[in-house]
Amino acid sequence: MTGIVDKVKQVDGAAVTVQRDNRIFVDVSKDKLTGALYSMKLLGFNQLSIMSAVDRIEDGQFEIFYVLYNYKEKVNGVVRTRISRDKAEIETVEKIYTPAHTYERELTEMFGIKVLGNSDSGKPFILENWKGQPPMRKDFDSVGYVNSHYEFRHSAEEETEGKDE
Amino acid sequence: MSKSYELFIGPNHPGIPGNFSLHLELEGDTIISAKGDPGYLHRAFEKGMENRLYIQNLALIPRICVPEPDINEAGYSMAIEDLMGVEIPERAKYIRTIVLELARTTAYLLWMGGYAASLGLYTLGQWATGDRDYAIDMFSELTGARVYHMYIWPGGVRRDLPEGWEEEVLGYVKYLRDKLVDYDNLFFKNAMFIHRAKGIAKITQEQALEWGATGPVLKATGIAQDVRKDDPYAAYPYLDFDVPTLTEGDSWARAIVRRFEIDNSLSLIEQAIKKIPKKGPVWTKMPNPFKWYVPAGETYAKVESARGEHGFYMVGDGTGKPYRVSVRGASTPHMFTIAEKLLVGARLADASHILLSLDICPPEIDR
Repeated sequence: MTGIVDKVKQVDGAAVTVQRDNRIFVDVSKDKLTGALYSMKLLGFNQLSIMSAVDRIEDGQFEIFYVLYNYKEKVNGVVRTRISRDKAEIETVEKIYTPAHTYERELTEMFGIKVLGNSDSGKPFILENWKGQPPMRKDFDSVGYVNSHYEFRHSAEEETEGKDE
Repeated sequence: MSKSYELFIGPNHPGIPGNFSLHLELEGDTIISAKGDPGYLHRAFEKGMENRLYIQNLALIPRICVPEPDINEAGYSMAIEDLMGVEIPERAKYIRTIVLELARTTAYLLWMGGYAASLGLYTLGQWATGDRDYAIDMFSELTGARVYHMYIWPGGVRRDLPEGWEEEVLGYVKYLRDKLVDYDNLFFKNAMFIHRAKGIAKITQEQALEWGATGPVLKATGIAQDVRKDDPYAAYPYLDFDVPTLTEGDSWARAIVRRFEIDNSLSLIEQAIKKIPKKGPVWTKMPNPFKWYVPAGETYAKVESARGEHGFYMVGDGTGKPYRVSVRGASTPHMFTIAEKLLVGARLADASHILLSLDICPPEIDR
């Protein structure tokens, strides 16, 4: 475990935090992201388990995370970077990790983060004909969306009792 | 002159493992392109979790995978325990193991029925669904619920085992083990199955790693990667088991690896019941569930599901609700990175067989 941590610390621009046994968090700036992921792969982090984003709305940023796994060392490495919410775009990493293609497509749909170089970024995926604010953003109004799209339905009990709110 | 045509399989089709659609382009009966079309089961679990208390989410997460809901409860609870720094009692570790392995067995039984049916053998499905139901009866007795148990929760499990439950489970293990001989004779040793599955949808070890395969799909190419061994949780470090592998990497190998996994699960259940501490708490006392303030921080907790690595990336912000929960199911790479490639060049009659050999669970994709 310590051996691999030392190696990860050598990755260009990486700030490494050991969260617990077998879990390392690696923070990099946006411009160093592709290089860092490539270096991680060379260090044996072969598998991309998942990638997605966290909407850090109070900082005006999105935090993009890539959960990687090194089978030989049995260590999960999470690479994180922050991008501005106003100019939400990142470069694709599908050339480094093939499964990223699907996750990036989902990222565009759910967070409205454009993925440059991914041919499917922006094509409808899980949500069909979605218009307006991407739903996973923190400022998306879930209740407002439901109220404007669906009719309010009383429970069967309330209907028989003739109660109305 | 050949002319291609389009064909949709699903979202409601017996050859599709759930509400999911497959958009195929064919020439004759050869598939020339395949695209997965998800979204029919999207219920905004990840968004919904951000608006609910940690305890309320326990009712939501098992629904992320219907055939095997308990992995979600375990992964979610482990993420909270990690952020809160809670250790679970020894007895709870063993109970979790028994529940998870019993759930894995039921998931494989259900898969077995579907897989055999995709090759035209419907008898196995009837048997397997029936045998799964005996396990569900035991879940019902233990948790009060048949499918969605909400039994594993942060700090341990909800309550102790009922009197005599362990003996019942041991009886079931013995029953299923005897029954598996019939399953083997009917299906796994069946010349028709071997003939149809051997060499179909083959992937190499390099491809499996490149495309993000985990679980039986990866094990069938010869890599013994298993979360239970590599990053042990619950009582797995105290139990003795081998990760089954084969090297063929085809549909046949994936099926046989799953068949070995059932043997493994049954053995793990027996070992856990033998070694479980007879007395002791099953829950580390936690604050009132409505006041679980999970400290700010991030973690990734993972378990081995019947399909592969199942993980929860959780971000806490010190309040009673999670700031972000991202669920990693094995089915996303299995469908979009692997199945879309393997289906190209295959015959139409093999399409559902290939999908089922990858054991794709659509709600894991939609979340």
